[in-house]
Amino acid sequence: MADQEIARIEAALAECPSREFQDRLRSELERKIRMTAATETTGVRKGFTTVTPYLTVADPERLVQFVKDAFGAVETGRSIGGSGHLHCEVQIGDSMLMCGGGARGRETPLALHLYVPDVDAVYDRAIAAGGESLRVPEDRPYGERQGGVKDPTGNLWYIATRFPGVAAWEGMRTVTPYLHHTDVLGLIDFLKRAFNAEELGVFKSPEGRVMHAALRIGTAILEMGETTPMPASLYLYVPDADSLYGQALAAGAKSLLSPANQPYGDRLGVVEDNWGNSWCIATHLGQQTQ
Amino acid sequence: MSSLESQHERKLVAAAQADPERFLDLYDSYFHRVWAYAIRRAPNRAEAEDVTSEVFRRALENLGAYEWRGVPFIAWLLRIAANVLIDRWQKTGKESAGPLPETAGSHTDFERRAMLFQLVDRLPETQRRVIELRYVEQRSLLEIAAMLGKTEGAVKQLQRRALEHLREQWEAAHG
Repeated sequence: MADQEIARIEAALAECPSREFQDRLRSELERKIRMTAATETTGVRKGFTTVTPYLTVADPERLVQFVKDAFGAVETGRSIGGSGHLHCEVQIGDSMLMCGGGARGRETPLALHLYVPDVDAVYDRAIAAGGESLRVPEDRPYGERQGGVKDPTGNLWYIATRFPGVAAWEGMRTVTPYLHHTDVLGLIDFLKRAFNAEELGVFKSPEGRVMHAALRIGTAILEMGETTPMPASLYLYVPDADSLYGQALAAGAKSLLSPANQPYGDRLGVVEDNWGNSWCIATHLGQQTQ
Repeated sequence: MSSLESQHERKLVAAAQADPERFLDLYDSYFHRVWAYAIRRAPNRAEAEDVTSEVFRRALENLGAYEWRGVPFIAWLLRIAANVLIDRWQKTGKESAGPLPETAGSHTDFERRAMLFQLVDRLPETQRRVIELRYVEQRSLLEIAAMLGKTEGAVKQLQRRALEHLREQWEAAHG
């Protein structure tokens, strides 16, 4: 009797789920829940994720024209600050970008990973719009066809189309900021402590150079790789700017601006890390007041 | 379902509707039943995993749409599962590759298997590991012994104890 019952149990056990799968699906759901919660949390402007690239260049008008011509960007807003510098916001695909500059001040062109359906066509348009070729589109071993263009204001655009069936990090959007520094591992460690970044993957060359790394901060992905440093400027939308500003200072960043309410509806503090990146840490308080 | 169970279920669902984090409680409670359903209808383990994943993704997205009208939550989940299976069959161009969801296996049979999977989960870790390696991964006693750093005899012993344990629990539950 008991043996018969055991035989039936053994037969059924072949269909038992694996623990690895059960845990993997649980983590995926957990992540989804967290990301949904983060987008619904107040403090993030509608249409934005946690991290927005902030391209600061000498001639922002030229930059805005370029992204419109090359990538079909749509301008969603602009304003002129007290010091005469232009702030302009554009949307490319599902991603928001801030473009600024034009007055005295530091320029921080960025490198950006841009996913499009047809890299060759977009590369051609970018060249026609005044971009300088960094490399022509080619199939890359990491699962995409990619070309590179430097725009007339100095930003680097890694334009890519994923091979069919190649999966992206969950949360990857049309545009992902790509940071270039020499000590990427140190930077990752800082970002974990300062902004609760979650490491998604680090890929090293045989010599130990970090070729590529990906992190998640809130609802956004950040990529990085080791090469000539290119300090970046990034705008964070978080539920509590004051507390994250404090956390960033505790992690070793220095303050450029203490958190204060701004006329455009954000409470904003700015810090700079040891790699020269500046981080605008903001909580959106409500409708723009200007 | 007893009214006590049904009350508990309503509470779990309402909590998850109010606070998405609590959806994980629903996942823990219903995973084995959704899996038991999917593994019987999908052509293989990998697809059963895809189907199960998709069911919970859709359930998470649409939880707000679930309304309590005396329909158990599991029935709602299994309807999602049936839809996922149909979508997949249509996509792969296979015509009804398998029995229709409603007719496959008796209800009690399905509940019993889900219960067994849950019991496996609650085994002491080493026993559970042996069961998974033996029956899910179909490994030999010798391989398992090498993987766990035990003798073949010890693995056999663990397997026997686990099966005995499962049989007792299973009989206690079903008489």
